[in-house]
Amino acid sequence: MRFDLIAQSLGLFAQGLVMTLELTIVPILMGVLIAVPCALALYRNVRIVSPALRAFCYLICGTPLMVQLLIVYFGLAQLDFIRTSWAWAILRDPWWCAVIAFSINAAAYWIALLSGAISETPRGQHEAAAALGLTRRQATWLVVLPATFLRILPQIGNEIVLVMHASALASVVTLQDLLGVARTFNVRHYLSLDGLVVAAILYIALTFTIVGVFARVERRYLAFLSPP
Amino acid sequence: MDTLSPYLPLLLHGTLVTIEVSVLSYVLALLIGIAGARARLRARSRLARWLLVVYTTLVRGIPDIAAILLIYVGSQQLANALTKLTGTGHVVVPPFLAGVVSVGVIYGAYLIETFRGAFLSIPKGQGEAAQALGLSRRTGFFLVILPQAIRQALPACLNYWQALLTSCAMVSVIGLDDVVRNGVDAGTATGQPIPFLCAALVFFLTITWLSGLLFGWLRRRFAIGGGRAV
Repeated sequence: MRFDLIAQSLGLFAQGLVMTLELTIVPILMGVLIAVPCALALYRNVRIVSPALRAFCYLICGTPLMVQLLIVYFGLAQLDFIRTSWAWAILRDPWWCAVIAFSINAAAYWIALLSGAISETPRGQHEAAAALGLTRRQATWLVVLPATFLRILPQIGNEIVLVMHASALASVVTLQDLLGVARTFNVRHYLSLDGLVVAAILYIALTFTIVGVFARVERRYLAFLSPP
Repeated sequence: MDTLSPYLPLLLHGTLVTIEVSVLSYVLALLIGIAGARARLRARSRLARWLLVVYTTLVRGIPDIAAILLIYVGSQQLANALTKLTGTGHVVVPPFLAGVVSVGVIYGAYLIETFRGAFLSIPKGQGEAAQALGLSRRTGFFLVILPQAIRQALPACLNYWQALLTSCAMVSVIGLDDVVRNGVDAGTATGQPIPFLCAALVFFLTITWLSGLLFGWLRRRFAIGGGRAV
């Protein structure tokens, strides 16, 4: 291990870490934003919309994110009506391609997770909301959704780790995320292993930070589930 | 279709590579999972159990694509060091082998946890009953314990097979000419990547569909005589 070179390049790895965080946080938030209305539609069994959403989830969860990312990155550039439209300014940038592909992928997994959890809402909560005179919209936003998110708290941590790990694919489309800078570092210094080891250590640190934070959050907010 | 047809042999070769890598690595992962779970529950040495915990923790912390690169590059360096030590000629680690081993090692770690849970869910009496019938430890494990553990583990096994497939789409980063790499190459050569990438998408979707059917059949098969777990 060339610790001297690694020490010189700490700034580079920090930049990679920042991009990995960006490519985790943005798709997670976009995914939730897309998934909440979709999961509600799935739960209410809206005609045409619900089967379409189910097909969307099957398509996205049943194919590799790698291929989805390559379709956004290489594929969309083939279509002339995209290259001549305003959207090209965005789709030309690999960062946006990655964000779009990761967000769609995260949304599909969020929809599957949320719609399952929403349908497990105890009957009594709906009845209690009705008894309090809440409208259906109020019941959804004030009772059902908060309780759902609380119930899936342990899975949310897993989901964030999965998205963070998936973000390492960004290096395939030339982005300088943590894995990207590790490979750049190796190429620049004629090394093969060192950069990867540094990236791996940082990924492990990141993973167990997320796991640790969620363990604390669970202890705090799911305290009522733990035995006295 | 006209763009696709000249490149069909290339795509078919790619799909074969992807199928080979995924099936072989899944078999390896299952072997690691079952053996590792047994070792974690039964190993006397504290060191062995500790090493297993380190292994599963490391794998859970590193993205698949980084782990594949790390194992490929790491094994090559190890091979270099060994050949230098023994003075034999240069050995090149074949990317195919590295791909199979790295994906197998990654998902083996997840399956250890799955099978550990499955073994723990089987009542002690089952092992004792097998012994009372005069079965050896080995026969008892393969005929009594393992089939029941598989029944418990099947849903998780399907999930990990699905995840393993998505990881197998990344083996092109270590130079394997799988369906993804060949699709991208053909797309670049023709300037029309969409048909080729969509072909890859359809290929993976078909595998997903078929494996759903296969696992459904397996679940029914292993449920025979299950009744209620006592």
